[in-house]
Amino acid sequence: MQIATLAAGWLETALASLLKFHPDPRPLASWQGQRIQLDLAELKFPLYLVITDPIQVYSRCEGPIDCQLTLSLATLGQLRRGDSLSELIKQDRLTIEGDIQLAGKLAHLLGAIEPDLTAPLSKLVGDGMAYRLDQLARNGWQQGAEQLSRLQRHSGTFLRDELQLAPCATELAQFGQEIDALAQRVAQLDARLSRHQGVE
Amino acid sequence: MADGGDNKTHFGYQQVEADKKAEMVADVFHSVASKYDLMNDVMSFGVHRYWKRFTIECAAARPGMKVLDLAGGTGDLTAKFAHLVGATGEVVLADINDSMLKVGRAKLQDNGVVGNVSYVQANAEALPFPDNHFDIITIAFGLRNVTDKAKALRSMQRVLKPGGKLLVLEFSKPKNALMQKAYDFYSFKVIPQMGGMIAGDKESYLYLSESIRVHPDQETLKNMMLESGFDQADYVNMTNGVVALHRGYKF
Repeated sequence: MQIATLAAGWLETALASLLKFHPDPRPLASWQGQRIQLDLAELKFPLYLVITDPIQVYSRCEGPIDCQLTLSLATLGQLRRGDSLSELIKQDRLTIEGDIQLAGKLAHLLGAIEPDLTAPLSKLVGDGMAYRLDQLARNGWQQGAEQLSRLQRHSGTFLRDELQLAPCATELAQFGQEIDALAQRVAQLDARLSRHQGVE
Repeated sequence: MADGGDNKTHFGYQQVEADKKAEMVADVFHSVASKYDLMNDVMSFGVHRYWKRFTIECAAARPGMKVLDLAGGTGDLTAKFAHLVGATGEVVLADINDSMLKVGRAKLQDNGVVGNVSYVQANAEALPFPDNHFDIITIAFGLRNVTDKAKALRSMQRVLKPGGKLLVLEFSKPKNALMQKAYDFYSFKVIPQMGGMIAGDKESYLYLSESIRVHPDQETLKNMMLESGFDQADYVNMTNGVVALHRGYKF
């Protein structure tokens, strides 16, 4: 089986399910078949989104592409949470070729989705239990995210301050300045050498 | 001439008069039309969706193209093509069986697939379209039910534009002997039982299993496509050859 075809099918099904939680009952009404190419760092193949109702996803696609996004899954998550496109581009975490407004529109579309497990769960276990399970899952997710964030902070502090293996922010900034100064001196030296070679 | 010769042809494992086959196949599909999608999911464990998706990706449809989804049944491929060719393109869903066509049309209209899709009741052996008309023709799980396959392939070649491509998705011959045995058991013992329980029609599903066994294998069908005037005919096996996607071009 072709992994790329399977991945495209999975993403198409996932998007169709997630868009049911969009607050707008017809979230894709303003789209007119625009084609977006997603180059995810984690995948060796591109995915093509044909934005119709429902969204079509393919691993191969002919015809002109309106917008090409190159990013990682983590950045896609940040886009969904509403992080600024220009900030992500400045940080070299996102590259956009083509219509930048489409990228913004896609981010807005995905960002508005608020998954709610209560409705499908209530059909299986009843309203009360569905509410409790939903709360449990949300609290568990929040606590997990907090613990992960805390672990990252503590690991950073331990590596930087205790083991002194990693540089702190000011050291990193100073190192960056030294590199810039060195690059400037090399450029000057190169210019002088060129001048001397021209005289001889 | 019909596939079986002497005006006889296959209907599953039976030999029947060639002019009776279309009617007998029609009866099978009249019977299963309402449960067709459900049975496809159950019988293939959902893998038919992958086979069809792969076919769509190989078709490489572009906006503005004209696509013929022959034996299109309940419109799975048509729905995808309609989005890919856009408002400037056109998709024709053709099927010889009016029950399947009605189910397909109702499903597509319910899903909002309208505007660039038209419906035609047509026999693949005598397609009612002008020469050099379509950019892409697909026939998914339909060719084995056609009485005279060579005639149908020639008809498809006629209506395909120069530069166009034909995609034939069809059950074929598994490459592995063990897989063949497991597949035989599943086809003849399990599928008819499922057909009886879900669609209330064991005999139709027994015919479907038998029709797969008498259908030409990968190499035979490839040669038939070449003899019918297609160029660069080749095929891709899927699921160990249980299904093969045949491709041919008209230059």
